[in-house]
Amino acid sequence: MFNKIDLDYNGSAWDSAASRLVAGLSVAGLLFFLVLMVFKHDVHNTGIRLYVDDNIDLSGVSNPVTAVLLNFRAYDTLLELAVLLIVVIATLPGHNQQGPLVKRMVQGEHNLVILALQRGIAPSVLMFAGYLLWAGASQPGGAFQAGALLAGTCVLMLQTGTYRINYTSIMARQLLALGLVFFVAVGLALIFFEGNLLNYPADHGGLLILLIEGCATVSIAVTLSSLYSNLVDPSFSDPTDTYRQGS
Amino acid sequence: MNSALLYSITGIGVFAIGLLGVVLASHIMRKVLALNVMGVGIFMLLIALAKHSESLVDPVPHAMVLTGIVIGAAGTALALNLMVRLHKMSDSTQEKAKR
Repeated sequence: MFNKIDLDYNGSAWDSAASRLVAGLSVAGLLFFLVLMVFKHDVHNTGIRLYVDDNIDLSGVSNPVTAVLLNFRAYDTLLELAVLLIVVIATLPGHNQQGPLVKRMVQGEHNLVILALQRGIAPSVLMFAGYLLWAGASQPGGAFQAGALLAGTCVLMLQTGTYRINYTSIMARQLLALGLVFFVAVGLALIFFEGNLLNYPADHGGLLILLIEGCATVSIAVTLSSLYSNLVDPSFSDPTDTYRQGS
Repeated sequence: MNSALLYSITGIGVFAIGLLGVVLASHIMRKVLALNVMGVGIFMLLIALAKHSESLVDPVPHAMVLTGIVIGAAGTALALNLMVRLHKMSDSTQEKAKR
C-alpha cells in the first residue's frame, strides 16, 4: 500500500488505496468536528431574526425572506445578478448570429407530443410565474422562483424543435442585462434622492422591489434557459468556430 | 434529538459524501456532480439551523440559500460548459493521473 521511500523512484505518484485512506480519514475527521459543532450550536440564539422582525414594516414587503433579499441585504442580490450575467457572458457562443430573438423552424424534427403538451402548459406557467412574483411580497415566492419556472417552460419549448432562440441577438442581450441594469439604475437613483445606495424610501419600497423583481425575473429566465441551450446545442458554442471567426 | 438536529447531521453527511467525491473522482463530470452534492448538504444544514422553534425561523439563512441555489446552478452550467470545451480540445475528460 505505502511505497518504501525511494529517492530514485521515477514512477507514478498515484496510489489509489492510500489516497482513498487519506481522503476518507480526513473527511471522517471533518465530519466528527462538524457534528460536534452542531451539537454545541446554541438553539436559543435567535440570530438576527429579531432585527428583521423589528424593521419589517420599513421594508415595503411583509415576507421576511423577500425583505432580506431585496431590501436589507440587497447588495447580495445585486451581486448575484452580476454573477449570473458574467456566467452567461462566459458561456455565450463566440460569434454573433444575426437575426431575431425567436426563430420558428419550419423544417427539421418537431416533437409533436411535447408541442401538444406545451400548448396547454405554457400559458398556465406564465400565469403562475406572474402569481409567484406577486406573491413574493407576502408569501414564499419571488423573482428566482418565477424565473426558474419561466426558464423551465423555455427549455420545454426548445425541446419541441419548433423554435430556436438566438441568444446573441441584440434583443436577447438586452433581456439578459435588464435585471442588473435596472437594479444598478435604481441604486444610483437612490444615491441621488435618498443619499444611500439601495436605501428605499419608506413609502415606495414595495413598488421598487416589485419592479426590480420583475426585471430580475425576465433576466433570470433568459439566463437559465440560455445556459441550458448553450450546453446541449454544441453547434452554438463550438470553440473552433471562435478561432475561425477570430483569425 | 429533534428533527432540526437530525436534518443538520444529515446535511453534514451529504456534504461529506460530496467532499469525498470531489477528492476521489477522476472524471470531471463526477467532480462537478460531487460539488453539487456538497452544495446541497450546505443548503440543508443552513435551512435546518435556521429553525429555532415551531414558529421562530431565521429568514437570513433562507435568503442566503435562495441566492446560493441560483449561483450553484450557474456555476454548474459554467463548469459543464468548460468541460465540454475541454473534451473538444483534448481527447479525454479524465485526469491523467495514471501515467
